[in-house]
This record gives sequence, structure tokens and C-alpha cells, in this order.
Amino acid sequence: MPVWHEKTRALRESGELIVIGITQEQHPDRCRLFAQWQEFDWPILWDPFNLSGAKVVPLIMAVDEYGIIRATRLHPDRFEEQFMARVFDAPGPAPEAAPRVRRGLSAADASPVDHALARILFEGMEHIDETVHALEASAAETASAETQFRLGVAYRLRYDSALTRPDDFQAALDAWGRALAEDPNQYIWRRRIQQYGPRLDKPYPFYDWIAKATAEISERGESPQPVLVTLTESEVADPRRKPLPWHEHEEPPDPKHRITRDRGGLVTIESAAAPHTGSTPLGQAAPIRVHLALRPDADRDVHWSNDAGPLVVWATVPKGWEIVHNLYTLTPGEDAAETSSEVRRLDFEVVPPLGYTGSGRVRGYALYYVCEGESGECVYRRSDFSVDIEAGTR
Amino acid sequence: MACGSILQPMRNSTGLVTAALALFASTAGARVQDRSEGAKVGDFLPDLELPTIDGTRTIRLSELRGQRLLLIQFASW
Repeated sequence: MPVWHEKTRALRESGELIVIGITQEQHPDRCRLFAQWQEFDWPILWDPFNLSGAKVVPLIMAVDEYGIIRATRLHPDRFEEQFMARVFDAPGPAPEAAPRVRRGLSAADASPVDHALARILFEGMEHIDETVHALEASAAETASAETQFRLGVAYRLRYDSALTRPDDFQAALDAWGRALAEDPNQYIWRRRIQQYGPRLDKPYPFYDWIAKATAEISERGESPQPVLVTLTESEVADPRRKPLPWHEHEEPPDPKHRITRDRGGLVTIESAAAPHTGSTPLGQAAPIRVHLALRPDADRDVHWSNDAGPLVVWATVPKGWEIVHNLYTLTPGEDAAETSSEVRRLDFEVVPPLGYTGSGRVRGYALYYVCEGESGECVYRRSDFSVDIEAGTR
Repeated sequence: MACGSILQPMRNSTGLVTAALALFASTAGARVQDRSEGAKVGDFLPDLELPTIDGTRTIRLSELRGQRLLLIQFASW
């Protein structure tokens, strides 16, 4: 898009042309940062539910003063002759059809889904439960792939909100998978899974530009727009890099189960598994990306004791499956405070045997130092987890 | 917790695919297209209302009539 930004600068400044962007992304905060980095000064709209129906991006349309689409195969160097220099005849009256999803839509004038989508887009995240319920009800009644995709978006929005539920992320991935199974040529839908999926299924690293953007914006003397939803490793994984070397040998950190279990739920472990959406090279099994989120109990003011030691995760796969590493250590950054209460995330890939179809269970545990309350006791605890994965075609 | 591999052939992921003009849901106009057909060159741009990425306002595309518009659908990735 930077090239269009530059090529249309004079036209925008002279008032001859309006440029509007529509981003087909789950997270608007990331696009805000991108726009700041690229110094885009034109409005960008957020279309997480794919109301536009776009199947791929980028998608560019030149629209005349009458509201008629005049060109779509546009080249930045020939935009003047392709569109701006042309004279168009006035058409008949423009249609008055209002968008199905729009601001101020009343429940009486809309379907429950359209009303719920309008609430979340124009009124705020406090309505996310209503949106999820409306989409769940619609998905139960129809076999609409579009509804499944939007249900997945709603689950993931709720997962990233204060109203999060432990299964929301997996529910989002499952809904997107059902949508894509119905329409495999819908690349906007495919990208939602690939964003979180295995490295070699990605067409490109999705958000690896964020670190560079943040640094360059800071060098300009500006404050970078905040990235509100923490990036996972899968969202910056580069499919062009060589795979990580397989581990030689790693020892489990608590083989005799001596560390006290966190039976009180100081930290809960949420999990999700993102599938490979595309074909794999002949002779290679399709990996699956496993996501873990370790969430301290906010109601009890549970927080990590960062100066006590790192968070350690041990993961194992069924016989015949592969995993790059069994042992993961999440060390707080050098500038980390003594305590913190953020959700800690880890994702890694597992590979079922070639040709395997069926379920498998990734098992493991986390070891962590946490404290409860401002003056509460600080303890070292173990929490076990298991992630059931369905591998192969359904 | 369950997931499945969705094994589907990949197509060109970055080009402007003509079929991708299955664009905009609620079409209406001089040459009304249904959703499966999508909006085409010569159609009225289907109306759409969305919030901006900073959440400070909404824009309805039909309100931009009277001015020439370049509409760019993209993603930061």
C-alpha cells in the first residue's frame, strides 16, 4: 500500500481524490501501528467480519463520483490514465439500499445476527457475548460458511477481551476451519487460521514487521501505537527460514512429580491447536501448532514472581509423533518488574506420523513462581495440561 | 479441544484474482449483483458502513458519492 499512498498524494492534497482503506484483519491495533509507520493519512476502516465479502487482499477499486466502480485492475503508474483522466456519464438514480449492518440498527429492523454485528462494531466489546450467541444460533440453523467465519471472529474477539473464556481460541479455530472447508478459495478466512498455524503453512510471516515499525517510529520521535494483543511466536514465524534443529536430549524438570500441584487454580492453562490448512510436500506430515496461555487468577490478584525464576513448560507427544523441543523456558525480559500479572503465552509445533488420521494428546506441565495478593504467600507450583488434537483429514 | 488439518490446494495468494470481486454483500444498483456473482466494474459500489481502526468514527461509503474514490482493501501482513 505504500506505493499507492505516494502515487495518490498530490490528488489527495488537491481534493481530487479520496482514499479509503479497509483492513481485513482481526486486530485493528496492529493496522493502526502499520498506518502510523507508513504515515498513511487517509481513513482505514476495520472489517473483521468480512462484511465486504473480499476473498483476497490487496483489492483495489476506483469509484467515480456517481458511485460506480470504474476500474479494478489498476497500476499506480497508470492511475491517471486508467481512472483520473477519464470522464464518466451520469448513470440512473443510485440505489438507496442501506447496509444490512449499520450504526444505530434496532433489533426490530434487523436479523439477530446483523443487529449483534452492528452492536460489536459500533457500540463496543461489552456486547461480545450477544454477538457470539447470535452467531451460534445462526450457525446451528444454517450451514453458512460465512456465518462460521464470523462466529470464529467473534470467539477470537472475546478471547482477546476482558470477557474471555478458556475455550474461545479453540472455538475460533474450529469455526474458521468449518468455514474454510466449505469455501477453500476464501483466502481472508484461510489467513485467520494461518496467522496462528504451523510455520510452513504460512505464505509469509504475518507480523514480523512490528519490531522494525516500532523502532523506526520511536526514532522519528513519535510514540508507537500500542499493540494491545500480545503477539505469539506463530504470528512472527518466518516460513522461509530453515526449520529449527530437532532437540538432542532434554530432561523433564519434575520427573518424580515432587513439585506441589496448583490445585487452587492460581494459574489456569488454556490451550488451542491450529491446523495446517494447505497441502504438504510429498512425504511430509502436516504439523499442528499448539498454543498455551497461562493466566494468573486476576480475581485473587495472583502475579508472577519474576525475580524468583523463569516459567518452565515441559511437553510430550504420543509415540510416533514429533516435537521440536520438550522443554521451554519463558524468562522475563531484563526490564521486567519484580512481579507482573500478564497472560504468558507459548506456542510450538507437533507433527503426527505421516498419513495418520485420528486424535492424539499432547501432555505436559508448567512450573512457576507466583504470589497471591499484595502481601500474600509466594509459592512454586506445578500445573498439568493436556491438549487433544485431531490430525489428518476429517 | 479438537482441530483437523484442512488439506486444500493453495492458489496464488497475492495476486488480484478476478473471482475475488465477489465483493460487498448487500449489493444494489443499476446492475444489481447477487452475492455469488459479486460487484463488478460498471456496478454501483455496494454500500458499507464500518468503524475506523482507531474507533473514533464510522464511514458509510455511500456518503462519499460526489467525489472520486480509491478503495483499498488490504491487511498489514
